[in-house]
Amino acid sequence: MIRAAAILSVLALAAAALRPTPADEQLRFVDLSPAARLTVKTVFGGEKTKRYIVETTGGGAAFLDFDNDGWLDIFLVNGSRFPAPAPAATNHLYRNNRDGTFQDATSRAGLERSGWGQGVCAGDFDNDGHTDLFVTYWGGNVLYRNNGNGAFAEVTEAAGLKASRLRWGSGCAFLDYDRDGLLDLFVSNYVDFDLKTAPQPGSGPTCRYRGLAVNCGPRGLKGESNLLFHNQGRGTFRDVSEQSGISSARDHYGLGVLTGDFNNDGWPDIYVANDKTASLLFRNQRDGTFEEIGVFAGCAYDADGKAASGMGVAAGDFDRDGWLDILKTNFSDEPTSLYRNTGDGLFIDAALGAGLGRNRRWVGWGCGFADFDNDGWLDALIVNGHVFPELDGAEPGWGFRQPKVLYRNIRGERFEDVSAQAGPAITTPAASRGAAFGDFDNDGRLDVVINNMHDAPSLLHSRTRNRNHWILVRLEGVRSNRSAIGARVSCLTGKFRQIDEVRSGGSFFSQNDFRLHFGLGEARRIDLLEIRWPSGAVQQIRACAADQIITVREGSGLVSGKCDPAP
Amino acid sequence: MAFLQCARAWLLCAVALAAQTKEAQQQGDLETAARELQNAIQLNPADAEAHGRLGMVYRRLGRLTEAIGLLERSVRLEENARVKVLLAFTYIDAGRRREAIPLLAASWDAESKPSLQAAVGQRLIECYLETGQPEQALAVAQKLRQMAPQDPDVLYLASKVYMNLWNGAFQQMLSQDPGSHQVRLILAEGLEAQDRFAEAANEYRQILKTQPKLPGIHYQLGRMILRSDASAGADEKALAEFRQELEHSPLNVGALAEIGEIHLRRSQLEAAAREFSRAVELQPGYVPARVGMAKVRIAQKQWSQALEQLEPAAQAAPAEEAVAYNLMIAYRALGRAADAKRAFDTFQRLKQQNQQKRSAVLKGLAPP
Repeated sequence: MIRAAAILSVLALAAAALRPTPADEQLRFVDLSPAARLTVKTVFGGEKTKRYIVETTGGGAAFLDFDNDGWLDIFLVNGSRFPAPAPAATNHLYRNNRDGTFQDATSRAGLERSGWGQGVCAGDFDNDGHTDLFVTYWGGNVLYRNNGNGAFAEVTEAAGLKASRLRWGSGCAFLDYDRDGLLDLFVSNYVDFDLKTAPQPGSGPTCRYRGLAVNCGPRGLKGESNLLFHNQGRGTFRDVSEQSGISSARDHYGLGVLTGDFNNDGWPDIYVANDKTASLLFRNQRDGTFEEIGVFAGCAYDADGKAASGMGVAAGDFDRDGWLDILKTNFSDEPTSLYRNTGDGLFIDAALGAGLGRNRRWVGWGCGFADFDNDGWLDALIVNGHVFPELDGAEPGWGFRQPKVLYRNIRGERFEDVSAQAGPAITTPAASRGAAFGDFDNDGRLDVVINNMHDAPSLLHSRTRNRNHWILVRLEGVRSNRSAIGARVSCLTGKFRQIDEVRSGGSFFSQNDFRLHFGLGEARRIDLLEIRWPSGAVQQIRACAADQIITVREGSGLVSGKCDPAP
Repeated sequence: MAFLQCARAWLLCAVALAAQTKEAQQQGDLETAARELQNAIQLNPADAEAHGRLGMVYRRLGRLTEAIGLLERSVRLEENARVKVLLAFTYIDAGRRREAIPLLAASWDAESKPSLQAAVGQRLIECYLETGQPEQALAVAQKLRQMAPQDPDVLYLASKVYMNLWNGAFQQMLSQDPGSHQVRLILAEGLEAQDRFAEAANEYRQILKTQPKLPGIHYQLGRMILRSDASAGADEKALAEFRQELEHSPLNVGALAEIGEIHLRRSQLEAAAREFSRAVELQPGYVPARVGMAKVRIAQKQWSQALEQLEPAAQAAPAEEAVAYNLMIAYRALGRAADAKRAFDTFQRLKQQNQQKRSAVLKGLAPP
């Protein structure tokens, strides 16, 4: 009898799995950018040809609440042009009007700056309750302190972050690697690049692509090492790249930066997606130093042991086994990497078995694990675009602008490409780079802002319709850093446990919403939220109602939201 | 002055003259050396060494016709292998390579000093190539490569020989039947080497118009489609070509492995395993199929079954990075730490070696 029941239940599950997703439950997005008044085009080098590699990378995007009004604002990094700079091209800060539109607040915020901007990451480095910004450049990174009055002050030199030589800052992330309550800063560097010595397009074997003369590199150009700055308090940082072991990994082409506790030891590790070279995993040794273990950990190469051209990176527990996995975007002809954490911070590239091997036509950049349909399983979005505009018209199908790819997570076992059903916001080609994930209209469905090269940004608004529930968790550190970066939250509903961490940086050169989003499926209540703060303190919040935004302060408990008042 | 003194006792003076000549030669005073040597020859017209030395001086002075005459006479007066080599080199300077060849060939066979033999061999290759005898040049080049496998001059000459042979064969093929499928094959392979995959695919399509069952062509076309076609249906088109290939050539393990890879990318693990397994059955030493099969088993977390493929692959191809890498992953998953560390070390060593080779090539080809 029991056996028969078990068989019936298996059959029912199988039938459910085979049943096509109803049309109204499919993942859907619309691009709201024109209506939201996000219309300024990003400038990034030549539009028809690109003479130098520096014209091919940047443009990060950030979702952050810079004015603490509970609504996500947007920051977009801009580039420049050769031979003459583009003075009108500046980074942009857009304030959320809370009605689906945004207002350009760049000038008032003092964030007007032109140059070859690359990435952006956020974090409250001085623990004053206002989110600060760090922007990377080819030509000198910039730290902005949020004054709390709608304006930022540029404090790079005062903070000890002014570079002594020309470097190409790329990805970045604030993290508290020594867990002292102060946010430190990690910066990846891409190529040792100088216009004076840069080779000309077509001038060597690394300057040709599919028979076309294109800009040279990164192969053939000198690689770089990464930087770690320790926050000394009083708003200053000290370069600890050497003593921490970070700079021991040399001659890499560093791009996307991802932090996370990949071995569940309570200390943040650092992953760097490298272009053309092995990607790096710096394991935190808990004594102020890191050991680079990417190859043995199985997340440096693809399934054939080959270095892919890593660009963007995201972390998430897509199979809900309690360990953070890594998603990494790569160049065309290379499958996306899905490094499944097998426990203890070791990985295997599970992309082929999980359905991520099929799309090899696009050059991937920004990416994210996000539960777009709130079913409790992390879906994935990858934004694409080629690096060579010269391809347009040269060979059919190989355009500079490329569609995005949206994957639906099928119960942690595989990903299904649902791009074609998700609407023109996904399928319309663009030369996308940075992508930030967050819920800009606080409706419980995750949205995405994308920085497009030579185009206006995209604001993908989720229009997925179903009855699934959700929760957004905002954390405030007290002993820990105020942004709570590095805090891990476990969300327990019934027998299902999800995990995520507050993170600075990630995707491609971008900053996601600090608030953690959990899709709850049919569950109307969360049984337990367990927060492991960077300080080491563990806090439990019980019986929270679904479909709300809650705020938890370290030590004090629930600040806002509806949960069981019992501690 | 020296001549007048020597007229009285020519034998003694010949010795003195030789010393003066050497000194003059060493000082670079070639005209003086020439005069002294002419005097010596006048004193002793049978002095082979003086003829040889004067020939050498004239060669350095650019008086090649006179140098050749003197060197020929020196050789006639007295057999001397080194003078013969000098004569050969002078023939080459004068553009008389055919005459140089027998002298160089004899020296190449007889010379015991490796550095001199290498120098002779290199000039001999040049002569053979210039006189349209690339096959003879090939034999010398191959032996030279054994003698000095790292020598850039030797490698340069060897490349020239191979290119010359390639050009010769291709020209002949072209002149006999410019539209033949063999000509198109060569064109396609050349285009592929330049990453011009779409054009290479077109060449294969042209071949198939006249030779639809020619073994290997559907397989190559499938490969080019995968590399060039950015359309959503590219995998399907390639798959169709690989399947057609197998209809005509069921033993083509490359086509089987490519089909396996397409299934693998689509997460059709069992279908992939079937193709890889068939390829391994046909050719147990075909490493790409074993690696493909291992990747399937790793995706299924069947670590021991992955090892069943990887361990023989490591024996068949110890320098294959993909094998060492997946061995590390499988051993690691099985908790065989020492084996995993060994595979890791092997992989790192191979990676470093290959990277050094690639860097050297890139450095060499980089613009100044």
